[in-house]
Amino acid sequence: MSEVALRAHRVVKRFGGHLALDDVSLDLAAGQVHAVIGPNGAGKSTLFGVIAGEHRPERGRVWLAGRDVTRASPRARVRLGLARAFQVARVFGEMTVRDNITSAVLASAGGTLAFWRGVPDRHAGRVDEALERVRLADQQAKLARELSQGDRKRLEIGMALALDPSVLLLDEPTAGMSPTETEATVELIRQLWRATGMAILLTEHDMKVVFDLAQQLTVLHYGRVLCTGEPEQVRRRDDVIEVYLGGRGG
Amino acid sequence: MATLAGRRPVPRRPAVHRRWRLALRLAVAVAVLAVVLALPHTTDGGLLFVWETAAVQVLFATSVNLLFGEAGIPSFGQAAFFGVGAYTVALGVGHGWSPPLLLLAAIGCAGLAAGLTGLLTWRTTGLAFAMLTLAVAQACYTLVIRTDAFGGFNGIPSVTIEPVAGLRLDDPTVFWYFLAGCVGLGVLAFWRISRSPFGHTLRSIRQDEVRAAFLGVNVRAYRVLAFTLAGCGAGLAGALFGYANQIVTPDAMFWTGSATPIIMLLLGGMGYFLGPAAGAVLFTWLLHYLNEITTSFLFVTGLLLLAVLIFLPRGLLSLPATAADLAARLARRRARRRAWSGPGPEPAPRVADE
Amino acid sequence: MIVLATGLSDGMLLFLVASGLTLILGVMRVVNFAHGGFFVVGAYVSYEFLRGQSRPIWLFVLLILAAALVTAAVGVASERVLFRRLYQLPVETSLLGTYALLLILSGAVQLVWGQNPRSQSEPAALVTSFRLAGATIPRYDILVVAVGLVTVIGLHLLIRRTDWGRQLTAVAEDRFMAGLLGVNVNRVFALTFGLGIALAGLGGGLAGPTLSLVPDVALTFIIQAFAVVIIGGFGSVAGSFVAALILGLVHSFLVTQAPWLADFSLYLVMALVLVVRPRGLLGSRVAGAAGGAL
Repeated sequence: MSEVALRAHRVVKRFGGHLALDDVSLDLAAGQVHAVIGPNGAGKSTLFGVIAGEHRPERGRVWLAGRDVTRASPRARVRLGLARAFQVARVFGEMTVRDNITSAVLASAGGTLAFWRGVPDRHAGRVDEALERVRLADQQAKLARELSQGDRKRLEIGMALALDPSVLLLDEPTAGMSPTETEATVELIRQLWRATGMAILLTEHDMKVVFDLAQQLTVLHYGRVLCTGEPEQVRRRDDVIEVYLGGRGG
Repeated sequence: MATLAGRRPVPRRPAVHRRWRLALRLAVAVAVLAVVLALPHTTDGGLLFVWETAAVQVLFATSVNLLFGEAGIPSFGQAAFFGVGAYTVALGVGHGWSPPLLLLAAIGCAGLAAGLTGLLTWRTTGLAFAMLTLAVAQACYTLVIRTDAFGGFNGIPSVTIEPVAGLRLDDPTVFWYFLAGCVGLGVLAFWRISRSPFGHTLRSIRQDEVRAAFLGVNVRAYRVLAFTLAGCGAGLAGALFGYANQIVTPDAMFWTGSATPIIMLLLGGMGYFLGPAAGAVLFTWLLHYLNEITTSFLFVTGLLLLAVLIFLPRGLLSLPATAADLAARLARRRARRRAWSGPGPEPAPRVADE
Repeated sequence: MIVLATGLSDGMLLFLVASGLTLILGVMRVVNFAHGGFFVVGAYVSYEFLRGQSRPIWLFVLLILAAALVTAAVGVASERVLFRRLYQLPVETSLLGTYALLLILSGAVQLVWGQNPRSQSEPAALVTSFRLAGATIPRYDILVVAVGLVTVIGLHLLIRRTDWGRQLTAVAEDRFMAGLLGVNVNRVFALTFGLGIALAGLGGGLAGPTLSLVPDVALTFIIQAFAVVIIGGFGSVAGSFVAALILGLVHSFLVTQAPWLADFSLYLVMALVLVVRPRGLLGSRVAGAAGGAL
């Protein structure tokens, strides 16, 4: 088995009386695309929240790059190579696209408490590069809130990439997109993955996207792991077809 | 200038050519410089003091704008740091310290006080933060009133300015240039801060601190530092005011003193770097005239503030942009009318998203 | 004993002002800086009705209630004219809007009654003091404490037991859902605001005999009332009650034990509570989050 970039081990998370994650374990191998699927309410977003540092689990551990980050702040996790995009793209709406990317570049460069300096020129190159990578260079002067939903999601991915992550979390990267936009986004993610070699953990409702991208699948059902494996194996399992794929007429 | 706005949507500036923008800036700089140079020769003593107050408020309002306009930190206690600066100077003059040293000391003391306040309040945000800063300021005010060393209610009189390197700073003309120079340097420092990576990150925190945290930004450290820097600015403003006023009383720390710069930056427009400065000059003179014509300037100030909030929420400097926006909208509507030249309903106006 | 009496009476006055503030904050999510202004309006209108004279208790109570109603009328009018516009604005702006109203109200009081201090006498039967357990206690304190207790019980019953109280709670939790469920949100807002302002006015009338009346009292009281709201927890009437009594007692205790510290008691308690428990003593996490967002 190859090197593990991210590991969640027997994670339990409750919200009040509701058991959102029940003993969930997951290994994300370095450089791999791994999809978490499951019906609504299966616990996918909660799992992402626990991994990103938004929620503290009641039990279980999370390791990132070999370090225990169960109780670490989101910031500490970013420093260890984690970046995330939200389900509904969170960008700085009143800033231009370029300024959005600049924020990410500055954050990744660290030490931006320097209030006496100008924004260093050397960052401009990195900003251009990131804009180019997510194909937003021609829209860089627009305010982020003026972008279409799909472009906003690409911008958010661009901001995440500017952090040079080794693990990228994508929460439903194609949600709310048209079929054309979806196809372009899948292609973009594939290219970015090939170019950077980072590991990607994603959730997705669109099975076509999942089977196009993922090399590993984990199926969550009512907060528990139903199974993990390669897409072709998972696709053939009867229990999976029953709880999930079957319900969608697949 | 990039967009400094926060949640409040700001109409984009009309797309002025870069060269024109440079020319505009140059013109503003030259005009300000000309006024500053000419003032002591064209204005008599009493009115020069109003200008001095205005200059001090320009710096104070600009420092407060770092919090409100850029970082989105609603502090209602900045008068405390203004007061710390003023009292540092008042106490230091008694010990015969020289002005440059005292100004630096004032910046340092006010920054220290602000930094401590920032650390004390670091767990709170929003309204709780606003009220806690107000409480800190009121506590300082009470402390000053109760302490004999600070002169109690009567304050500390005869805050005179010593000559520096043979320059007689107590001469009104020389003092005006000295004050204007200090204010200018202070404002430039805040311009620098606003253009720095730090300023950029502050603006992103203002818009979405969760997003910023997930980019790896230490949100609280930025907040505390911004608060400290704004405190330094308030301290310098307070120190200069102490010299200009020649007496420092607890009034310098009274909580209405925290509200004044907020009104100013709102009046001028906090989406603009020079908005607070413009608001400060305007408001200072307005108060001056109001005091002459009415006994209840509270009433008039309140009405004025309300009018600005409702009719010009982005401040006076937004007037050209608002006008341009309106013109553009009218033009679009006319274009649409022209394009619609057949049966069927007029196409619906484009609705702004959000 | 005197500590207890003064503390309770001060605390009750503080509670009257703060309860209205916390109601308005909890239900309408508006930080009403103008609350102190309404307090002063209530105090001056009461003064006008009573003409500063000593009156029988029943007349005194009747007249300050009338003054509270007048104040509430001004409040509801301002809700119609001003606050409706503020709901859509960003919080900093709406905060400044209510601050502007505070200036206007104190300015108006200043224009009508001038800057000279006025003094209002206690009701005839309560001018004197009585001795209890070796301490001299002003009889007027009894009236203040009684009104405070009646108010807190009344508010509790109103919110928990009446239909209107249920509507109010629904709007406070989710005004959008409440609107969908058929609650007339605008009417709840107007009534809440009227009630909150009436409490401020009542507080003003009741405080009249205990202070020297100047327009600036607005500022002092609003800061104390905000402290109570923050210490008690945003939107929690019970929290305000507890916090107001704590503040009143701590203050009167320090006045006798360490007078120098007394003026700081407010800030000390507030800083302590906020640093240890940012959402306040009885603040729920949800309301606290709402307050944080404000």
